[in-house]
Amino acid sequence: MIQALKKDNELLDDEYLQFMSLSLGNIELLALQSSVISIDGIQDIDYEEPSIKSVGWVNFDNHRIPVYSFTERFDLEQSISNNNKKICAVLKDEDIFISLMCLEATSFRQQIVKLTSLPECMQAQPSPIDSLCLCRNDNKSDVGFIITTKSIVKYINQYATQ
Amino acid sequence: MNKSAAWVMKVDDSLYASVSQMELVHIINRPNTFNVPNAPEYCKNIIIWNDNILPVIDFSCVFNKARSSANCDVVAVIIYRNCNNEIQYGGISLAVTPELEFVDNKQMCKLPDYTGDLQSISLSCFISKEGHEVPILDMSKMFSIKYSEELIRQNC
Repeated sequence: MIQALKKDNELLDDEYLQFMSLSLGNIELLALQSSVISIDGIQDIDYEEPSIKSVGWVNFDNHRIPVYSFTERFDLEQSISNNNKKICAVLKDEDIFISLMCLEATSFRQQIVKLTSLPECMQAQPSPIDSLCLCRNDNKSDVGFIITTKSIVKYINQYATQ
Repeated sequence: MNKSAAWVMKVDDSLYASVSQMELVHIINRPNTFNVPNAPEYCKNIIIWNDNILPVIDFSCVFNKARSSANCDVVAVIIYRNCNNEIQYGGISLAVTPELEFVDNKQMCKLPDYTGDLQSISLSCFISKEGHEVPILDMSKMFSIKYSEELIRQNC
């Protein structure tokens, strides 16, 4: 989805892609702000009969959306009793909905200079990361890890079959 | 006799590998690295170079099955073409700076048996001036997803 917006590896001039930063602790994942349709708290989670690999459900606009929780190594957690994540970010892409638990969900303030695909040699292992971005903040360069609704769903499906 | 220039990269005291002079475009000492979560062990770091994000392959992890280091002492920036014939850049993490050597055909040799893991990504081999057998590596294959899948199967 991100690559459909921008040609790979081109420097972005004046345009601004707005992202939300979803914190898993030491790792922050960036999601297009337009794909994050709701931010819920853990009190909104229904833990009854969760789907495979999920921890529960949240409701949004008559949709029952599975909630997933990742560790910093992208292992799926089946129970959230020992983690500090209090927020569920609900992502949507067309008719695909998914909710991701995180510590914080904030607007990403750094300037995104360039988008690039995940390097080929890194694609052999399943990952929820869709692409990478070069960011700049006060002349300091940084790298961001971009996720999409589809990349998360694909990863979960691959993970569930392992 | 015409000689070609090759960068000789040291993996360890007994293992060396090389690329042609034109393939190595920059040598960086102690660059800032960024760890990519869930990336394969042998290429889990990236660096920023000229506003490009480059994957960094750890040679010692590939060939010695050692755990990849979080820091890179030296990164050799390599230019190569991917399977779509597009120019790409990647990094190779080394312990020491590579050395440039001029090689002629008389130095060519058979790929030694101990470099079994290098067979699939070696183009040929030569004897360096120090007397080491040095495979010449195919960088396009080295940075490919196919080679990555092969290494993951071998648990690197």
